[in-house]
This record gives sequence, structure tokens and C-alpha cells, in this order.
Amino acid sequence: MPEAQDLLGVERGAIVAPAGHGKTELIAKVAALGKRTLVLTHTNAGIQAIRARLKRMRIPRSAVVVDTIAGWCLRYAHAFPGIAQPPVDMPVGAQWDDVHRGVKSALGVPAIRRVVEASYDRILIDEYQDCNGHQHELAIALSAITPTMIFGDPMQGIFEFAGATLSWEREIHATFPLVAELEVPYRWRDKNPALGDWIADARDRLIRGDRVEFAGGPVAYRHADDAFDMEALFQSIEGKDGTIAAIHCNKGICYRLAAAARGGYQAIEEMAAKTMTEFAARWDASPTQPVRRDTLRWLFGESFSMRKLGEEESPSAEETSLLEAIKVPMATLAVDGPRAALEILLLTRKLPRARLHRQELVRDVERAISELAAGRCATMLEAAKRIRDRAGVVGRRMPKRTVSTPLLLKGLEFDHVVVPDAAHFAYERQAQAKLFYVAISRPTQSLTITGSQGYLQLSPPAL
Amino acid sequence: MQIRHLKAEDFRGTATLEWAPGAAFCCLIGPGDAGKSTVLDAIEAVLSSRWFSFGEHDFHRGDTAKTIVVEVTVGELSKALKSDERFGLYVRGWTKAGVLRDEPEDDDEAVLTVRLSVDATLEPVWQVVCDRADEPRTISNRDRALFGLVRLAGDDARHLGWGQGSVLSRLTGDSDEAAVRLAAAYKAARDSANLGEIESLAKTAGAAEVFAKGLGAYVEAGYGPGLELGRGGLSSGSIALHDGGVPLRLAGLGTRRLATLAIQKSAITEGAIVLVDEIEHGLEPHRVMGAISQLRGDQARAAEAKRPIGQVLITTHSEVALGEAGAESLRVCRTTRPARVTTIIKPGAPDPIRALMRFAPRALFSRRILVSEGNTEVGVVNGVREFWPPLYGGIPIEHLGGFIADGNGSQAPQIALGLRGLGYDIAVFRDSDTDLSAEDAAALGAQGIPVFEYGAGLDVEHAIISVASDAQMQRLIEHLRVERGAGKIDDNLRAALGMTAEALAQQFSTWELNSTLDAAELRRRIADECTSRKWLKDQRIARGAGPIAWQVATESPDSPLAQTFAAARAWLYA
Repeated sequence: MPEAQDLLGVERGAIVAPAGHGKTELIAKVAALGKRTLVLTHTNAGIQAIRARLKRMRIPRSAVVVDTIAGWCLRYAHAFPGIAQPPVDMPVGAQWDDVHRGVKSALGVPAIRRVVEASYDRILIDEYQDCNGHQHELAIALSAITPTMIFGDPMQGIFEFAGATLSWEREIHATFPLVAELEVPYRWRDKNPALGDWIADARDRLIRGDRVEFAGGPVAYRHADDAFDMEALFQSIEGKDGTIAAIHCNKGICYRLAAAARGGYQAIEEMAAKTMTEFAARWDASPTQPVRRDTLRWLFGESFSMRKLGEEESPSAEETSLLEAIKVPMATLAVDGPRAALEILLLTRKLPRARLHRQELVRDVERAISELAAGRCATMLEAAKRIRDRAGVVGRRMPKRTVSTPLLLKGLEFDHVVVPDAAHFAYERQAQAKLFYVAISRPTQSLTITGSQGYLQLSPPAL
Repeated sequence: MQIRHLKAEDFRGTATLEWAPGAAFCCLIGPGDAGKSTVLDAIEAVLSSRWFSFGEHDFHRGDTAKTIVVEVTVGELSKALKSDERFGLYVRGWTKAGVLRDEPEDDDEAVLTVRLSVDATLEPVWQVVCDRADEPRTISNRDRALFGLVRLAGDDARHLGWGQGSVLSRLTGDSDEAAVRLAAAYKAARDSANLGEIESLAKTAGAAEVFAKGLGAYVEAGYGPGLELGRGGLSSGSIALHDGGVPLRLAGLGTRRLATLAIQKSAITEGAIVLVDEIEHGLEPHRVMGAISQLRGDQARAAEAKRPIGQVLITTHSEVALGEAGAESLRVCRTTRPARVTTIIKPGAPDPIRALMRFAPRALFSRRILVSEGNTEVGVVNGVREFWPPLYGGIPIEHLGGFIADGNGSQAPQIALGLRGLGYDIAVFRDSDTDLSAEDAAALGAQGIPVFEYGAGLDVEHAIISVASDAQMQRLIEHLRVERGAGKIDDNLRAALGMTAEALAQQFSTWELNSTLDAAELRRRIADECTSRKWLKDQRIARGAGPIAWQVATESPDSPLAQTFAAARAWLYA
């Protein structure tokens, strides 16, 4: 790893860091050397990862500002609305491009440049592979004001679908020349060095478009015909301590896996909290009992799985009495909606045959309903937005066992990872090799891959 | 830091006040109660890190229903202020043309506006404001200290000791260590009063000495820390600067003030804003000049080294200070009655003001100025004015803010116009031997500046001599003989009048008999001689002729001389 001290002289530069190679550590070390460093990343999870590292390294909070590119830009855009022209409400979709473009224009005003110059002595941008063209333009403008270094891994650039398609060679390094590529796989050094070596080797193969073999190495390969081979999912984790993630590219399959695992794995929600938002929209659509009842039923279907009754089996006494009890609040949904809904959810959680596999979703929905019940929000949508924003700031706690997509698990690490039905990566339209690399580089101790064949060959990535 | 703009409403003696200083060094003048101190008070109230407690007297006309609002817009901002963790996102733009723009554009300078408001609750609120922020941002005392404001008002001995929060204690060490070091110092002080052995205190005292000397404070034997046990026994305030064993607070007023200013200023590393009331207070003229030149020199050196220049705003009643500060720094402060609108005006064209500062700097400290064409007029009118007070209940024109200024001959109209532009009441007093140019006449007329002249091509010499009685002529000639030398006067008159020395030695009343000239011609020739030889072109000599002129005018009330004097007098006493 290059010494942080040696990087201080770099006015503009790029550090390429494969997963687990100590990138966050290096960022924290470089950041600590300045009086006030700005570290920009893409997600709130990224912010939390960097903050946690800074805290562990006892770097004073005041010395490093950590923000998302979007969050930082929004702050500046609203501070200088005349030139940046931010949208009035929270930007959505392509409006973010306007925000980035607007702040880039603002940085053309000398007085605003002086503010940036006075605020930071160095800017570090993390996860640069996730930047789109507008963000790159912004980074170029920032680098003209303050020394700027970018950190990232071309092989983890899985947001091609969202426009993060910058070419490292032609576009990124034209402004930020390669300073160093990190070479030591720290993540596995103490826990499973062989796995680290295997992942590094797989990375090289994926870049070339070569075949990656699963058998004969540190990877546990299990034959399975499809993703829903629960045996593979559960056997691989038997007796294992620590965090476990199952990673599949398809969100729908992830939810179904979670349901099939009957709460053994929890699905996590994306930051946009689509399901909660839809719940809120349905709830707000009409204050009538049937609409609200159906909305709750729909939520139940999304987040709970009911074990089917066996033949000859009849509902238990407990279940029957709970169902009776639920009828009471169900009747008052139109008049005392939020309180009734909370009561219903509380009782539903107790149903003996119901298993919750989207705990995060249901907990957030309950919080949103509480906001409404307490009169802090006028509509469910407003409450949902508030809870979502709060989660963005406070961060989420990962369940011990998670099933989710590479997009959501990117940047996180788990003790053990299962990749069900590896062949599905070949059906991804974009960035299939990168998605697979992100999936296999998450575990620190063990990696289990299931599938119908013991190898995988994917199209070479666009870097 | 430099103040770009100041705006105050209902603060003390001013109902409204707006000012863009426009320079790093400004010298505020104006008659008493013109609002000069209110301007400095307003700036200090907003930018000082001290807590101010407000009372009814701070409100305009004592009316607490009208909220005090003072806004100061500051440029040449330090890095700390511009940082987005503090107020960077609140910066506004100050255009090259000197206009405030809420959001900076183009080449605008980044500036911050700090607002102090005090409503009927008397609770002051300090905020950084800009129109585009939903909420103004409260600014703490600690952050206000970043504006680096230093005020030297009266005589404040607080800064000459190591008391809590004093500048010296700050200079003694970084804030964390200072307390510890001071605590150790007090302990050591208790053990032995030999404070000079405490290195940190001695070093600071030494540094303070250098700063103070730099501004021209007199140092006797060298500064050192000394113990001053007062009421309450040993406390943080017990250690004070001593000069050769004598507490500095007992030094002369000027030295004390200069030392205080120097020590305060030295504690601010980047471009301090220095406010000084009556810089001349307690100082001899040469030390006033020294202090001003040092303050300006500091700015010039900072500019040279591309460091922040800061700003110095002083008020003065001293022409010495004004002369040293220069015409460009001159700002004239004035508060209208009864509306109490305070204006601060910068000379439009500095040239006539430069001339005025050379010939009559004192005029700038008055309200109503009779710009007189040259030495003769200034002298004669000044001489005559001594006879006016009895006509006005014993009040001299000076008590009403009146002043008779030297207009330096043909520059008089330009000087008059320049002064009018600064808001003074102006009239011109002039000879009629040359006509006022049409342009000048029009310009003076347009500004409503009255012109007093004798008319009919008369200058003051002719105006006096043409109507003087024989006795008055005799007095005048005697006066000239005393002042200019009898030989010279008589030689010139002999040639001009074709008279013998013996004849000239007789009383004036006999001259006509001994001359071939008639009375009128005789007087005309004497006046011609008087003018061409410039016998009265000296303020002192002309002033000596004042009593004669007054007598002449009194005895010939219909003469152009009397009429003109009366008009000027009426204007000055209006």
C-alpha cells in the first residue's frame, strides 16, 4: 500500500483498489493528514463505512467531512440556487444530473470556488467506478480548486445500467492519472488467505473473459439445479458463526428466497424503499376500510410467508384467537386507521404459522404508521418519506442472515457468502462479470457457490 | 477583513445609516454629534466578540418598539469564515461596482453579512444572513471573534493585564495551554512575586513592548509582568504590564492608548478591523502622525506581502491626523435634524479637498463654511467677525459651527463645490476685480451657494479705501507702515502719488492739499498700490486691518463694503 504521506503531493490522481485491499483504510489515513478533508462517496452505507473506520482510527470528526456526492451537491445547490437551479423538491431520477450540473456551474463562480478552497485542503472521492459523466465533470471542476484523489475499482462498476459507464483509461485517468494499484488483499490475510488469492485470480480471469473454476480450491461448490435449492442455502451455513449473505442478482428471486427460507434469511430494502412507498400510496388512496384492509393484506403478502396447513391439520387455538382479535381493529380501520393498523401488525407478527422475511420493511412501515398516528405527518406518504430519510441518515442494521442483490450488498462484507445458481450471472444484460466479482468478493471466511456446473464463463467487462 | 457595507436602523442617535467605506483606511470627520461614534459603535456591536447588554438608551429616541437592526457586510474574509463548516454557504457577492448581490456571480468578492437585531425584549440576536437561506444562522461570540475587530474607544486598562479573556493572556499561549500556564503563573506569583522570571509572561511582555513601541508608545525601562494586588486578593487580573516597575495603567494617556491598541491588534493575525475613536486623544501632534503612519504602513506591508490588509476606521477632530491620513481617506459624517438620517460622504474629486486640506484643514471640522477667495479676504473677514458677537448675544460664529476658510484664490469655486458635495453649508466670499467665470457661476448657482462680492469691479482694498474717512485712512497707512516697513510703504506711495517724503509724513487729511490729485484719484492710487504690491495679501496683516474695515463699514452702511459684510454675516448667523 502506498504511504498516505507520499500521496499528499498528488494534485490529481487515482488509486485503483480491488475489493478488500485496504482502500477505506488508505482513505482514512490520507484524510487524517489534512486539517479538513472532504470524502465523497455514493451511498449512506458508504458514508457509514468510512465514518466507522475514521472512528476506529480515532481521527477527530472535525478533520474529515464525509458525504455522498449527491448530498454534498444538494447542499451547495441550495446554498447557491441562483446559479445551481436545484429542483424545489427532493430530486428524483434524472433531476440529480441537473443538481450535479448546477453545482458544476456554481463552481465556475470565483466566490464559490473560494468557499470550497477555504473549506477543504483535500478532496477524496470513493467508489469512483459508480460515477456517471455528470459526477465526473463535477469531480474535474473540484480538482481544479483543491487537490483531489479518486479511489475505486473498475471491476466493481456495476451501475452501468444507471449510466456509470466512464472509461477508466480514456476518461477517468485523463484527469486523474493512475497513482497506484493496491496489491495486498488485507481482508483475507488473517482469516482465509487462500480465498483472497482465489478471488484475486478470479478477478483477473473475469477481466480477460476466461473461465472461473469453482472446484478444487477454497470455494465450496455444491451442485444445485436452481436457486431455490434450500439445502445448499442451509447446509452451507450449518454450524457457522458470523454474518451470512446469499447473493442473487434478481430482486424478486431474493424476496422469494427469503420467503422460501421462512425468515431464515431476511431480505433487505433498497434505499428508495419502493415497497414502503407503494404501501403508503395505497393507504393514502382512500380512507375507506376495504382499501386499507387490502393494503395491509398486500403488505402481509410481501413480507410474511404462511406455512401451509398439513393435511388433517387445523389452525391452532392460538391462531384462531389471534384472528378473532385482529377483527376488532380491522373494523375500525376507517375511523382510527393508523392505530388500528399498528394493532393489526402487532397481532399478525404473533401468528404461529407466519414467518416474517422482510423485517426491515415491516418495521419501517410500523414506524411510518406511528408517525401518522402521532399526528406528526399528514399523509402516509409523507411519513414513509420521513422514515426513509431517517434511515438514510441513521443507517441500517444488517440482519445476521441476509439475502439480497450485489447492488445492495456492494461495499459490505460478510463472514460467509452463498451464491445460489451461479449461472444466472450469464443472463444479466450488463456488467455480468463485475456483478459476479462483487458477489464473490464479499465473504471474509467462506464462499459457497451452487449451480448446475462447476465453472462460469462471462463476457469480459467494459472497463 | 474589511467592512464593505454598513446599515443601521434605529440605533442610538441615528434613525437610518448606510455606508460603504470603500477603502482600507478611512478617517471619519464631522461636527460634534454628527454620528461618527455611532458609526463605530454600530460596527462594534455587530462584529465584536463581546456580549453587549442593551438598554432603552440604545434605541433611537429610547423607543423600544422600533427594533434595532444593524447589518455589517464584511469582505476580505479569512479562510475560517469562508469555510462551509462555518458560513461559507452564506457568502454573498460584492460586485466590482460596489453593489451587494445576494448570491455571488462573475468576479464578485465573497462577503458575509452579519445582522444584530434587538427588539423590545432587549435580547440581542446576532445572525449571519442571506436572502436565499430559509433561516438566518446564529453566530456565536466565538465565531464573531473571527472578524478580528479591535476597538480603541476611551481609555481601557483591561488590555494591559493578564486578566481573564484579555489579549495578553491569549498571546501568552494557545488557548488550551494558557489557562494552565496562567494557573502556574499565579501559583508562582504567590510563591515569589518575581514574575519576570516566569518565561512565558516575560516573553509576552517583551512582545507587547515591541508592538507598543511600533505604534509610538513611550517605553521607559522596558515592559515586564508585575503583580498588582487589588481588592479581592490574588486573581487573574493581578498580573499586569509594568514599565520599569510602574504599572502601565499609570503611564500617560497617549502611551496607554497606543499600548492598548498595539497589544489588541497584535493578537489578530489576519487583517484586523481596527476602530479608533479620536486617535489624537492624549497624543502630541507628532505622535498622532507617527501612529497613523504606522497603521497605514502595516497595511502597505501586508498588501506588499499579499497578506490580508484589514481595515482601519478612525474618527478625529485633529487636522494633523486628517493631514496625515490624506484626502482619499476622508469621509464626512453628518446626521440630519430632525429626521436623524446619518450620511457619510466621500469627496467626489479629491483635488479641491486636497487644496482645502492644505489651506484650511480646520474648515472640515465645522458645519458652515465661508470660502473666501484669498488671504486678504480671509484675514479681513476674520478681523471683522470679532465685532459680530455683541450683535448676536455674545455668540461667535464658531459656536454655530461657522468657519471662514481660505479658498486659495481662483480655486475658491472648486473648493466650495467640493465642500458642498460633502454636505457642508457653503458660501463664497470674493473680490470683484475679476469676474466669476460663467461656468463657475452656474455651478455655484445650481448648488445654491451664495456668492458675496462688492460688485462694480471692487476688490477689498478698493472697497475699504474708497469709502474710508481720513482718520480711517490714516489708521490703515499706519498699520501698513508697521507691518510692511515705513520706508517701503512711503517710497512706493511717493512714487505713485508724486508726493514728497515730507508731505507723506503729514496726516492723511493733509495729503490732498499737498497733492495734484483729487481725493478720489488719490484714494484710487493708494488702493491700486495696495493691491499691486500685495500689502494686505497676508492673513495676519489683513486681519489687523479688520477693525479698520469694520469701522469703515459701520460708518458707511450703504457702501458695497458694508453691504457685503452684512450679507456674509447674516448668512453665517442664519
